[in-house]
Amino acid sequence: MDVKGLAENLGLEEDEYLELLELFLETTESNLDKLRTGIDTGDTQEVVASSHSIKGSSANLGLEKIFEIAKGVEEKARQNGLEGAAKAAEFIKEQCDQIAGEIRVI
Amino acid sequence: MLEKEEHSMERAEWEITQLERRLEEIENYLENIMQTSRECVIVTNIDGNIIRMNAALVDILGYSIEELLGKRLADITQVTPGDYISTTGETVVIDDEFLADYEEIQTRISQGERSQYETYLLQKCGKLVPMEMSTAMVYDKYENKNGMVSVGWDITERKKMFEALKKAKKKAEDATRSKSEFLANMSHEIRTPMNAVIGFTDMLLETELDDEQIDYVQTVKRSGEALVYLINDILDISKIEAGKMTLEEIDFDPELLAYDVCDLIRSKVEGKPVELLCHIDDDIPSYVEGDPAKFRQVLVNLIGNATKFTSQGEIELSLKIEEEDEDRIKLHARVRDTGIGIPKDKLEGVFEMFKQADGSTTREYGGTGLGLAICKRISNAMGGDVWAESPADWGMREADCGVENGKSKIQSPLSAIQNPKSKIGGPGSIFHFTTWLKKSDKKPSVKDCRASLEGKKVLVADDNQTNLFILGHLLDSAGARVELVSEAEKVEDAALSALSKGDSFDLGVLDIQMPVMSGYEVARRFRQNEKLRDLPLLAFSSSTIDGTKKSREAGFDGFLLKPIRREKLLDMMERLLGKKVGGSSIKIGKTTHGLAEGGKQEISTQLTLNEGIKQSVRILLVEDNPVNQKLASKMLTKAGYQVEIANNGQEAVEMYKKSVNGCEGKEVRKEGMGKSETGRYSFVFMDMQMPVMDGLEATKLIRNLECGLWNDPNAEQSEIRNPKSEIIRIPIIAMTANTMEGDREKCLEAGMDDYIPKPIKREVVFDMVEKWVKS
Repeated sequence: MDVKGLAENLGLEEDEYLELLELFLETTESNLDKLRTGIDTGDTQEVVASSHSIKGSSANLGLEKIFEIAKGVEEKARQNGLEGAAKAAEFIKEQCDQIAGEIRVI
Repeated sequence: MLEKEEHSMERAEWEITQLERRLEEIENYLENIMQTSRECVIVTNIDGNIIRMNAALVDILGYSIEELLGKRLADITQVTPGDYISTTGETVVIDDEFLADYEEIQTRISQGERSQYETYLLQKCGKLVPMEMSTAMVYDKYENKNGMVSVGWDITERKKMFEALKKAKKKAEDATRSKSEFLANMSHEIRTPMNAVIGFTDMLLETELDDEQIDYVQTVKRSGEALVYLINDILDISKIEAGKMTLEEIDFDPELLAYDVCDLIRSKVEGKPVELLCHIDDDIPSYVEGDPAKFRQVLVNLIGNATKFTSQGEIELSLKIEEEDEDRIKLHARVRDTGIGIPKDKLEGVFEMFKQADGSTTREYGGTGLGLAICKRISNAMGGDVWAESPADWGMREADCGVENGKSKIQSPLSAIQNPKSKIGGPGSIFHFTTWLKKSDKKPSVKDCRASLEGKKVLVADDNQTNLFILGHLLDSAGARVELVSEAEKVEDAALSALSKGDSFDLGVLDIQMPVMSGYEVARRFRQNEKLRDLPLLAFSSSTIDGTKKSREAGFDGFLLKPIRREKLLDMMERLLGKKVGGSSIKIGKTTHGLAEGGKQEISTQLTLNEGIKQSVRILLVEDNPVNQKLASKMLTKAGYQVEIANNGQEAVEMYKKSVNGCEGKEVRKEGMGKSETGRYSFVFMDMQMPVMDGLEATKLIRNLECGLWNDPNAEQSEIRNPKSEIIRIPIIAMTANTMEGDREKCLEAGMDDYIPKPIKREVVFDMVEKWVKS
């Protein structure tokens, strides 16, 4: 993960970016909870809201993989589709864990 | 007796015969005239029946004489509505309107008017003949209407020619338009790949290249840029010719715009001994309504042109009011240079396309030869003109400075000053640009109410007479007492002499590039002199190179680049007057931040001033996601703005309400730098999708509040406090990851002013802030 490059893109110092990343992980954790609940209860509104939130913040931080997945989930849920959403949530969680691991190293 | 009677009977009969014969002769005579005439003649009786006509009519209509004698005039004139073929070959539509017009003419004729008109007659074969008719009533000797006579000409040929001309004209116009449209499209098609060429050339330049390669690539880049300029110019011209140039009507500050243009142009004279000057008349309004982009384009072109042809001396932009009526104002901008000048007989030619005063100048000075032609067309479209003057036309320099107004008290020292610099350079030229603009409803802020400069004594040193005049006038109108010195070596004496008279200076403004002794040297001397050590000094320089550093080292307290806006200069002076210098005496005036800390000498620059403005910008950030909150607020606070965060639409509305109410209690400060410490937000960044209340809803509520706030009878208090205040509409900018089509429209419909898609990019955000803070 090119923390330096990503930080530069945003005009931030490396440690500032890392701080944002940690905040992102926290926020995404709670968003993922909401996402899963939404999927379980078939509440597409909830799925749209939580995936939208993940989409916006990941885009801002330049986390493209997460952004793409969240975007896919949101778009589908807007059409009332929830297939693949659970899998996507899993994948986002994996990505977050990976980022968390890298941060710890840095 | 009987015989006598018989005789008289015979006599009478004879006379009658004679009369009848005479009558017959006249009749024949008239009939001959009528029949030989090439014009048609139609005579009708009082009932409208045709009783006479000539051969010409028979020829035109194709009826025999007998047939016509049985007809009424209406049979050949009053056509039933419908489509007809005309003898010109065109289709003619006879509609009710045509018939009504004809009826009206007939009414006028029957009232005794002699009328000439165009109409159609119906041929036997059903075609219409276009005719020009002249008709009048005929009366008997008792003045009773006896009938009507019409004379007419067949105008088929004339009509044909007219139609042909009309077609040719339309065809020519269409050709010009499609040519221009083609040009516009083509230019666009060229521009797109050219941007790629230049963009990639830039990237190529950032890679590792040897000197030769760098040289080649730079040539590619320069050529590409030249091509893009040319294409842009062609695009402008073709737009104007295709009638596609539209003029906007926006409020703008002409003074600010003029200085912006100077800022832009400064880089072009960098390194040349050329002073860039800007002189805005005091009575120029704070706001006018017009097209600022076009206004700017003309100024950039004219000044840019001046920089090309001026290698030393000065370029002065001045702006004054030429004419004024109830709701419009005519501004007159002049760009005077000391360049190579234009021969008198070439003055008109420079405004033609692809023409410069001298064909060979293109090679030396570059340029597309379209710029001035564009200026001319734009100014004409704005109701003004652009023209040039050669030096022989303009007389004394005094006229240029506007000293002839004679209202300023600094006139006398000025006229005594000899200016060595202004004699440098070529014969020069003056370009004029006039334009009509609407007067703006926007409230002008009061320009010269600087209490802190009132009565202050300022020493100004500059070897450039024009600049000395401009500065002197500006400070004079701000209420300061000014002393102007044009020779650097006399500055110190002037300061000492004032001191000995007990009327010492409060501030010194020094030009840097002066002959004999530079501004740095003057400042150094001041700092070494016990008596002058504490005088605040402002460096006023034309050169950006190392200016700040050198000025600080020489002991200046402030540094500004020429030319500078009145507001900025006065802000800087206030700052310096309020500043403690050298750690000793405290000057009167307000204390400001940016003070020298711990003895470390600090220097105020334009940046310091900008910082001040930025810190006065308060942004309300509405965003529910903590990551986005933090990121946006970090970006903005880093750039020097104040940010406050609302977690959702509801909170935003509450905070907005509070900010407005809080503001009413305090005094609304609008003048000066707008460093308002009051609660109002400068603008809002609004996320769209949020819990509790989304961005669209919040925007609608804020817009309602804005209206209700000033219309609500309970809110009359605020109106009393701030009677002239208009409804202040806070700019709301959407920040959203919804990038689907139609989202933008939704935002604007809800009352938002602009739109930033996520992921947010720094440049986009800052551009947006600047755009909305400025407006």
